[in-house]
Amino acid sequence: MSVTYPEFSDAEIKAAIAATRFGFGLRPGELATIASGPEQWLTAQLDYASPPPEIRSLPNGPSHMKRVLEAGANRKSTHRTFIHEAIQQGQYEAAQTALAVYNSPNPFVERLVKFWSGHFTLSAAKLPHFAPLVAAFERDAIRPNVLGPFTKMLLAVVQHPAMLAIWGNDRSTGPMSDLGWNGNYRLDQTLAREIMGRYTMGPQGEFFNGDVQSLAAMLSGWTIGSLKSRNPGGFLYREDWHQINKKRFLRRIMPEGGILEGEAALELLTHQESTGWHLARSMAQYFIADAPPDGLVRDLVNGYADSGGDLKAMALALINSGYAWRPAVQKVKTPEDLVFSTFKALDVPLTDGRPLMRAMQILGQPMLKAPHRTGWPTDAAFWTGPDMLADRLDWLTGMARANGVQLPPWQHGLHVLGPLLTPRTFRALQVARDNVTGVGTLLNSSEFQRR
Amino acid sequence: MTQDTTMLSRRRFLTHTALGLAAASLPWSNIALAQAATEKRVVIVLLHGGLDGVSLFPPHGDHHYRELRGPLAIPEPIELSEFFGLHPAAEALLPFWARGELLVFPATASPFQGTDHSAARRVLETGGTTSDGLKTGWLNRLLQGMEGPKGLAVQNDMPLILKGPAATSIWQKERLQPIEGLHERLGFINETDSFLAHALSMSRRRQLDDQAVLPHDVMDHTTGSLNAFDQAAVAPYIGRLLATEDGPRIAVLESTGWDMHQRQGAEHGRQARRFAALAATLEGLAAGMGPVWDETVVLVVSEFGRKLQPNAWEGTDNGGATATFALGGSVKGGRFLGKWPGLSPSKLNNGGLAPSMDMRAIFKGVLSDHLKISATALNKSVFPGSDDIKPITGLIR
Repeated sequence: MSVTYPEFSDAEIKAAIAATRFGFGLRPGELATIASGPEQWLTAQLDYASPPPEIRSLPNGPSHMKRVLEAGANRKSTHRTFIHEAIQQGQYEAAQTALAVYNSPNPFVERLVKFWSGHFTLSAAKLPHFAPLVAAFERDAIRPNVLGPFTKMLLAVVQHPAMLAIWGNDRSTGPMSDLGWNGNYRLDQTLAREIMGRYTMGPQGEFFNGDVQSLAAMLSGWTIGSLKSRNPGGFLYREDWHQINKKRFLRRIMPEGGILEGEAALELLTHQESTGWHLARSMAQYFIADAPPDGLVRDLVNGYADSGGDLKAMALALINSGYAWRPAVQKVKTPEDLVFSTFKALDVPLTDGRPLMRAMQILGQPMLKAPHRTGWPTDAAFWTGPDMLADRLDWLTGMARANGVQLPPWQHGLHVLGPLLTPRTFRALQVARDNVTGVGTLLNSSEFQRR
Repeated sequence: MTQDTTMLSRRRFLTHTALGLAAASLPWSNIALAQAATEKRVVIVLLHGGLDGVSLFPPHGDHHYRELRGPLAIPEPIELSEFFGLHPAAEALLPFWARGELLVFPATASPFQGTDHSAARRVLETGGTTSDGLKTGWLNRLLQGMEGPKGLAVQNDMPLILKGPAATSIWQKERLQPIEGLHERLGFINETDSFLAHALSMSRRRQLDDQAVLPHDVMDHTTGSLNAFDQAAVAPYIGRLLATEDGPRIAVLESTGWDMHQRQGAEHGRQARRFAALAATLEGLAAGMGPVWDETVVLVVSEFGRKLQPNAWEGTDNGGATATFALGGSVKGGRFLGKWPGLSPSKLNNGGLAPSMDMRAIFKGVLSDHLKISATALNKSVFPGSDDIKPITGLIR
């Protein structure tokens, strides 16, 4: 007895795309709910207000940084204990974060958080005891600002202790500052270079080494409060470390103004044309395709520029762009995408995020440990090399073995992918000889490997 | 057709047993019941292929390590002690270490001293001294002497370590069969996706090339096709099963794919991903077992280790001592036991780590202190011919 491939309404097609491309995949049964209003389902999520319960009570960056400072001040014999505790705390926070995403009724917002987090990648790969700090960074600086002005996010990011520590700006002292005048200066340009080359104007932005130097000078004195300061572990501006002179930046002379210089410079960067293009291209690449259509990038640039750099407007521009809704699935799922969508497809009940976190580690994309300078690649070639792909398929098969599905595979496939399931795979699921073969075939299909 | 009828009879069995309700919470539980005479659990995680103990627990304190291992040395292991560390991909084991539930024996071997997988497996699993001596598994002989518990295997066929007259069963055997022709089927349905189709075919080609290069070393795939990734996915469910009152007390989880002859990788790569899977398996088992973890000892065991120097394919060849380790709420851990043989050229054994402990000493120590098996039973029945191998004491809380 064979079932014919069903007809799908436009709403169902849009719902499947909304869930898999803008979100993290469909749980069986969800397609019908979303199909009653796919765009509304997305825009309603943008009224998101409070952080998910799973991460609400986790400590913030300054608390974690305080522990690091205290450990540094202690005797060496306790360092290993501190490192072990920090690594374990990092694992716990990563697990909670993963669980929050898995359970979230706002998967589009969660994806935006992941995108912006990746844009400002911080990593504990080389510093495992910084894992809690990196986890806190996303909660403190990214999440609260993901639907607000980019300037606000940029400022929160640059002032976060994790950012200052990892990029070494916490020691940056101007040669003409009070402290530097004694000869004890080290103006560190690393953070400034990252801000201009990766966070704002991008590699195609028109800026020069002098601009990077000036930005570094404006950010000198932006440091982390010591244990004895008025903000231990948190952001502290030290006037006595600040380079005092007028800086020439992006073809203008910046007036002297202490901490206001850095704030003004970041604000200025937000409004550069190349910043809009860089952010738009990154977003298009992350959400839609490795080589996104120009029209999509343009829609996102307009969303950014017309609103004066508002990220909610940019998200709306994405939802409203026709280019984002083409039925052909393009992006190959990263391990993160694959883990969430696989667990959802199998509707695995979880009270702990650890299985999700471990699965990402198993597939080669451990949370909080992106490659240091470049972040995770999102292009297809990286994740589908011969050895990576073999292990990926083996993991998916293992998941098919372990997690039984009640429905016949072809019906399950329709729930999980809807109109995105091709007739070819649909036929293969109908003739699958048993449950494991059917589910294994579905998970390993091209439609499920992409979004 | 036979598959359908067995499924049907199992379903009928389930609805008629008192356990039906408890079993329903696990979607497909169909294990035969037995009254357990002990509350203690023992789980053997059997890794076939040759676990590279030196990568999982890098001896960062040995100054020959980095030079010998070259590009395969782990750059920044998590330091567990002054001398030994943990591969970062296996960081899920850190909480066990911190709670004193992880005990590592870094330089162990069975009586077998060669590099042939099949012979080494037979010695390890029969608990004998030669590969053609005993015909039953030592866990089965243990079960023969114990009142009640049945052995459970998580593998598509009964592993040798559990083979024998004592009653055993296989968990969900039909779910663990190799999926025939999966690659071909995927090639067909993904044909229109030229990028993925090509990537799939490259991946398949590489697997076949790997096997072709070392034909004499090809694992015997008919007796076990589960890999580390399968183990990680099923572990939480096995854990929960082991925690049930009428569930099994002795279980074996077996996986292949540990022989890293090609492209082993150091901090990242094929071996790192498998270490992550192994650590996830152990974490999942513990999480599933809940409170009975306190009554549990898990032993992670492999037939031999891997040579220190990399080979021509950026991997390592079989041979030498390997790490054996124990985890569990019953384990008195937080330490590395056994003399470290050293890595200077004169101390190595044909390029591999020289063993300083017979694995049977560990097994006997666990069985004696955890399951209260008598020395006579251990020497005469479970490990015949091992009178000279003294059980390690003080392993159990």
